[in-house]
Amino acid sequence: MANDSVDVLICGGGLAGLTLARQLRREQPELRVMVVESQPRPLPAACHKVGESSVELGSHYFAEVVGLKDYLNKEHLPKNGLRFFVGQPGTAIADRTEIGPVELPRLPSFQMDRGKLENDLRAMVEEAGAILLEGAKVVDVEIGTGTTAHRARVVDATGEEREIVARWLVDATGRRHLLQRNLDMARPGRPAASAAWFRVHEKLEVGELVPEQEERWHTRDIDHTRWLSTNHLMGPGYWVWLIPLSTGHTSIGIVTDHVHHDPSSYAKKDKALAWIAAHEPALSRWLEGRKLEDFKVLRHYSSASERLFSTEDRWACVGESGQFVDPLYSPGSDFIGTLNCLTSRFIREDRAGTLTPELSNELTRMMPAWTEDCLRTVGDNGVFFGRAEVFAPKLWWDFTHYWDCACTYFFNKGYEFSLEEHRRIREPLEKLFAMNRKAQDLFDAWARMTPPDATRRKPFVGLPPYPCFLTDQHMALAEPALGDALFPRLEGHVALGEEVLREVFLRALCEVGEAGAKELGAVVKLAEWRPAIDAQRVSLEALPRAERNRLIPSVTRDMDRAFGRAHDDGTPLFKLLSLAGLEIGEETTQAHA
Amino acid sequence: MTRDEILKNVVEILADSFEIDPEEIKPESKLYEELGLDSIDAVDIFVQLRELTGRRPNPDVAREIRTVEELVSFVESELAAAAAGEPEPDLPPPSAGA
Repeated sequence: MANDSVDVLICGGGLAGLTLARQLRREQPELRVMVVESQPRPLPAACHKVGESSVELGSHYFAEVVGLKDYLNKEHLPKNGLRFFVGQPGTAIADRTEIGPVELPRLPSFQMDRGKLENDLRAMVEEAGAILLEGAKVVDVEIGTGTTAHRARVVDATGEEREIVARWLVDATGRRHLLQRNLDMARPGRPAASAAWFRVHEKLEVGELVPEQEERWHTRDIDHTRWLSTNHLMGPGYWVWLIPLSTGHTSIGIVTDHVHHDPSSYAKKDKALAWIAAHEPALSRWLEGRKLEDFKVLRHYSSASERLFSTEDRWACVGESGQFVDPLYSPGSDFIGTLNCLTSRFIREDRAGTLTPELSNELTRMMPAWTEDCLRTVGDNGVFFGRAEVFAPKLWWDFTHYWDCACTYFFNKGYEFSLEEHRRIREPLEKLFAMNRKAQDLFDAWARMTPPDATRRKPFVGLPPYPCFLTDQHMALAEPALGDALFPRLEGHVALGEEVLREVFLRALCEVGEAGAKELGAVVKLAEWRPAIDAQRVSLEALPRAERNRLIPSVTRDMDRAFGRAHDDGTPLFKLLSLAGLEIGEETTQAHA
Repeated sequence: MTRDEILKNVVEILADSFEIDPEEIKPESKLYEELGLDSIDAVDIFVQLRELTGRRPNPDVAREIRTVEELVSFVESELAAAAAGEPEPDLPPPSAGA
């Protein structure tokens, strides 16, 4: 039996494993890195894997950390953000609220053809000096502990059995969950949700699904870039993705929760077509006579893991091998980037003899906190997909939170901080996580306590519009805040988050009205929270529009511009707050007025 | 689009976005003094007008507009410019935190 000894053995050569191999060889060229992958080249373009849509964090990782910027710009499609068409099944797309970027965002993200990308990455990884065993299977692993090395038995493409001895073992096997199974670490993910997807070898523009007579709907897309978004056709409990690929294919997928849609209703090709006909008739008409390629179903897609790293035993679970939260907001590559960067650091510190348990605990504790945060954000979210008047503010919150928290941490290399620096920045990050839990409780309650109102449909909500605090937070990612500058930056985000949450709460309070005020106050634990809402702020609600606009916080103005003013039942805000459990003396108002 | 159709669209945008009674919106209405709009509202108006014109406006031209009638004329000339294939103004990108 042949015997190889390497520093890092990566089991699985998909997107996570290949990008890690390239990153390791670029950052630590002395490392011997081996990738074992069962599928030989060439992978078929366009019908390989889903997860084509990357968002800011993952895009930054691929472009800047892995050094794929020029390649992605040249060989894949630029992405026009995430775009949501929120409404009811069977309705025309132009009659739903469109929520998405006004123009191509300045911070890049990509629509990646996974087959093409992984073929190209394999060549790049070999060029970078990693050993790539293709068509090879890991038949057994003996996971080392403490000082003993890991040993893997691998049958290579020629049928020869080899033993690989490795100091570090990285699981990048995706849903095969090599380490998780071996170490019994599987934990439940989000509530039951499933997906099915396929591809069509043709470009589909979402505009083709909307009649030409909808002139303003079409003209709104002034640069003709709407089709480059990950377009979501949504209704209660479901969304359908439309993703364009550089190979001329379109990726189409159905994602549902089991409360609203039994996955059996779309788990076969003909059933999926019937399901689409019932829910998204315009897409169904477009699909008539077209060939569906590569139909796949994934039930209960969400998974979690008790642990993702052991720095004592020197193993890591990257990509989806450890966890997968949800495809909404396309976070897959974000987790790839973050887990790979942490793994790279652990390997480097281990070689340098500087990997202390304190440092390792400090860095790894971010992951469960962030995963928990993502799980809470996607939560049991099906109810929002038919409710633009609640979903649009939630999207604004979710995106601000994502840019301010995970992206700010990653873009400024929080994962490279020293123990003391990292402890310091964890404090504002934990405040942001806590704030997000309250915000999500608030959105859930708001949706539960108010009836849907189709008459309030806004044709379009910018995500983000300009000018707006959301745009500022997005653009701030392009301005580095490295080292000492990150702490004040994050503190600024905490202050903004508190202000936005307070104002979203006031909006929700108006919407639930007198009947719901008490319950809403209990949901957000108002007595304990005590948001800084004073009589002066509350009194502004009674002013005429122009005067109120001059005096309200700019974040409120931004929300009013985008969503319209909150609807109320005529109950004064003072009274609503009092019912909710926050007493504010009304007499101070008179003084202000 | 005729001038009347443009006016109808402009009135609809103003009424829907800024809680103005459509009856109050006359061609001669002054946007800032009479309809109570401010500079941020103006930005939003011009973003919405792109749904009619399909183009980015020239900010120097937009800044000079004072009445509903002038808005209508602006849309009319933008539509003519679009039909004639005139390029959009060369605009600097919005900067961070601006």
